[in-house]
Amino acid sequence: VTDSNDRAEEDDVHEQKIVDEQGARGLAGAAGLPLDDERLPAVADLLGTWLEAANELSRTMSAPEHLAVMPATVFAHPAPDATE
Amino acid sequence: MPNHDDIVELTLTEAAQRVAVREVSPVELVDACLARVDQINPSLRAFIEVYSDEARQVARASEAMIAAGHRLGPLHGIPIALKDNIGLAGLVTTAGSRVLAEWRPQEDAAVAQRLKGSGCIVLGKTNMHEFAWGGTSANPHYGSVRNPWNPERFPAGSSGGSGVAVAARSVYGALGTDTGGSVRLPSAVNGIVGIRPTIGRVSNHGVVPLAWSMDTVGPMTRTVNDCALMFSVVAGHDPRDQGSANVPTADYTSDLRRGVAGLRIGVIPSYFFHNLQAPVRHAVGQALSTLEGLGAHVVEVEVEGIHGNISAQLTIESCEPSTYHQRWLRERPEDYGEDVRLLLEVGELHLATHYLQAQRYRTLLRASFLEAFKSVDVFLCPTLPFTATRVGETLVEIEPGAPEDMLAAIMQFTGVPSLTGLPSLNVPCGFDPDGLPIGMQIIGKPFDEAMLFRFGAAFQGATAFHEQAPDLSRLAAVDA
Repeated sequence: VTDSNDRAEEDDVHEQKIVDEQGARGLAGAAGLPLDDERLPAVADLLGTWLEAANELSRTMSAPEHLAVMPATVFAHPAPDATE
Repeated sequence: MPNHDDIVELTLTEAAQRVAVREVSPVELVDACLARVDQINPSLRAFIEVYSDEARQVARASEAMIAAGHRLGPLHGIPIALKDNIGLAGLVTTAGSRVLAEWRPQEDAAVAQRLKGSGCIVLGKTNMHEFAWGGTSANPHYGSVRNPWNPERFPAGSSGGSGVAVAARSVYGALGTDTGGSVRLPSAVNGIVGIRPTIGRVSNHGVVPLAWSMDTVGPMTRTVNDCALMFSVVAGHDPRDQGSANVPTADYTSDLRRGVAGLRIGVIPSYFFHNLQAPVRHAVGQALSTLEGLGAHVVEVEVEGIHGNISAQLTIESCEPSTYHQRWLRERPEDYGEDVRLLLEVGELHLATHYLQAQRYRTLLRASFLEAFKSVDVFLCPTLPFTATRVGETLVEIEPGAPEDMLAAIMQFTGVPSLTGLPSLNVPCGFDPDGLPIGMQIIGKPFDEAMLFRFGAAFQGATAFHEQAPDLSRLAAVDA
């Protein structure tokens, strides 16, 4: 019984998305994006999945060894044999 | 005079050579291609618009020019198609959307100018995933594009119509656009060749954007030789495109017979050969053996940080389109298909720090690849980990019993060149037991597209996958 309760709690934690419908409504309001209530479940679900992965990447990129890394919004376009 | 079926079986290179020596006329090419379009389009939905009358007019002019000894360029008289996010002056360019259903650009896109200048005849505009934001080409406004190898299967995307148009022999070449894989994915799934160029190599001027920092335009053809020929025409600096690179181009057909003896192929087993359908693993493994048999060396390499690429790609490819579409999403949200509308809404709700961390990750991943390129000439991997799924599927089972989200699953290998800006060529390398094509992706150093064509040509010189054609007799059943 204890094991199954533990598993249920773990499942509950796992099921908890980092963005729920209320959160999605708040973010959309902040962005000035009108979102009808019926759109909130799908938006919250996909956003939650993607933000979890984005947070993981942000943790990686916040490591001290990456502090000097610049965003690659524009590439330098070196010639094929150029050294960077 | 050869019949239409024989004419459409010519490769682009063969057709161009025969036009040049007046063995076949541009009018014959256009008539044969239009007949094939009529045959396939009701069921495969490859084209949004076909310019039958205009193409015939241009073909007659091309024929007269050749008769007078005047050849515009290496593609004189060759019928091609453009993905419908590539602008043509005065002609509706929808980008597969209802939002742009009435939009007529004032000038040709740079790539269209170059192709027309080399003598191409634009036969029509191809269907696509709406605004190129998706990988299935299931278009709610212009119909779902279907795969000629099996019309119950999808053609991938977003350049699905271009892939189908070429595979079904309705044009000799087509242009697609590739942000996260949109040239390479439909090339793989339809059994043709397609290149994503180094970012900046081909002008994006006049192309409806998806994600500015990753968008490219690339040719899709049946053979590597054809792709190299078409690429030689479209590549080059364009000051009208802020991202265009002022780097010299070449005749990309000149190295095609040099072979690959002594060259090094990098493979990354821990990433690119993990989580594959068995036929894909087998076909790409066989391709590596073939290239080894031609004298290339296979080298196992690890690339630091490669596993973060899906999140980075989805973040960037989500935020940038949402920025471009911000006004339309507020003023006319109901004009978007449901899947694209959802992606655009979600893209508005990312944090700026997520976007910038993803862009910083790109710097890191690119540096890792440039370091790895000190020990290899190219990387080789599957283009996607599965073969064509059924039309309309939003989940895919790579491992039986473990459904995955289609969007993340389909871009997991093509996203690496997209993020790093590296060029990448899809080459057909086999078929699964159901007869569906499998593609491999050859990734090169920045601006070293010639090396990709060299590898691809060597492989096609030793194999015949690219010579197989879909059986279009199945289409009658779909039409019925």
